[in-house]
Amino acid sequence: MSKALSLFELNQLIRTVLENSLPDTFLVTAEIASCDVKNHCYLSLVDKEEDTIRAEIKAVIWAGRYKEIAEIFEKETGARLSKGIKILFQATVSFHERYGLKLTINNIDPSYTVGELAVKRREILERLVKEGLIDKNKGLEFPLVPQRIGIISSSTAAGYEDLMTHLTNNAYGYKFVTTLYEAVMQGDRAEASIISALGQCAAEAVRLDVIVIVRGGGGQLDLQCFDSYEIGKAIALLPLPVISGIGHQRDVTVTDEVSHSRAKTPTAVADMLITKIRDFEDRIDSLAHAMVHGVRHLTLDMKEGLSALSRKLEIATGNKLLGNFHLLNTFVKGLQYSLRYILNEQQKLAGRESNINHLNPVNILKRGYSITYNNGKAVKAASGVKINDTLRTVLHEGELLSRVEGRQSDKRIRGNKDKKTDGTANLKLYD
Amino acid sequence: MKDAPNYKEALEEIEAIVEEIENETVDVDVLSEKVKRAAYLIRHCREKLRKTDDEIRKVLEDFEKEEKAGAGDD
Repeated sequence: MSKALSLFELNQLIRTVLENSLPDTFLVTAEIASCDVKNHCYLSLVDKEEDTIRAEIKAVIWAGRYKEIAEIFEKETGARLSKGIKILFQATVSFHERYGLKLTINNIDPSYTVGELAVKRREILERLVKEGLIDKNKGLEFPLVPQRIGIISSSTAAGYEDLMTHLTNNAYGYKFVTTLYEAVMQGDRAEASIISALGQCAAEAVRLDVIVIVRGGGGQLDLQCFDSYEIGKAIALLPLPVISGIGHQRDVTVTDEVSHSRAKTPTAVADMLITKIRDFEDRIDSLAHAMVHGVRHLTLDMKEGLSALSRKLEIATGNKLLGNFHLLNTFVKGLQYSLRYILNEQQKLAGRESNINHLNPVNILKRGYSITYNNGKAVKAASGVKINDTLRTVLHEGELLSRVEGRQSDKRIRGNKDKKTDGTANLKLYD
Repeated sequence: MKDAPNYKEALEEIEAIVEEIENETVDVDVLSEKVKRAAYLIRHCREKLRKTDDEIRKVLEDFEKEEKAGAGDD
């Protein structure tokens, strides 16, 4: 057995062998298992086959390189250097006598990660399609009036504040009832936290109309947690429509794809909800208008119907009345004629009456004539009277009884002014 | 007929009444009842859009009182 080496000597030997036999740099692909930035960035890198780790190594990005590398990486990929991210990097293998083997990362190629993320997203989407989950939430009927909003966000997130401000100060004065389901929206714990919040929403679905997922500030980072199969599945199985407002301009995430609707910003989510309610109220308004119009039309029709009826009635009664009027007129004319006739007759009668009055013996007596009766019969000729007959003479006033002393039978009173009698009458007043 | 139907039920009921009125298939004897009902629903919806449940309940109670008072006048 040769001379024993000190550990330092051994490690020095290993370091010399490695540094002399390996090229200066390698291009390597690996997945980040952990990432810790303490001035320098310390990483644990793994290589998995299925879910089994088949290789692992420590790596470092020295502070002098880290700032630039991270900036470019985040800008290009929209992801931070964090657990689960696959990277293609240029590294040097180094061995330190005390700290052992590690990779020193000099550069990272973000386009590899972009591709990897896209592949991962595509695989998740394909799985969701295959399992019939991808359009499940889209198949839900969006509420007519989304007024009770379940919000999955962080209470400190700027996006949550934006959403609340817009909902509260909407121009129409609509009232929103919001419930916040607090969740971590970035980093390693985001996925589990969001899934838990979605579970709470599902449990309280009866008092919610719609679920909104909004994220913090407008950055493009940390979206990879939304490319999650588990989140996608949880959204798909929710009985409520989900609006994704996680805010990014890059490729849409799995969360966006599986949600009922999506909006670019929390403000846009608020506008979507407000517009939906405004649409409903517009319908109500136009129905109210249609009703007023319809009722007016209907009552106008009825009024017209009534006045048409009334006109008909007027015409009908008018005709009848006119007929009656003619009849009445004829009657009246007849009556007038009759009256005239009667008047005429009356006048005639009156005339006759005066004639008759002339003939009345009383009136004749008034004029000085008298009637002489012999044995109750009017004496009209002297020849019928004997001497000594007692005659009764009726005057206008009173009667005389007289005895006949003589007579002249051949002479008539008429035309004989010098009337002569047979004798003088002995007159006796009866009264 | 629910006094506090949800938006969908209210909309459907209003639509049915307006359709009847527009098609002039509404019975003239019940026209006033129908118009009253639709007006109630429209008002109910508009209130509900802008008030919390408690506020709505209050509004509905007031409305019912008005209705009863109105019915008393008849």
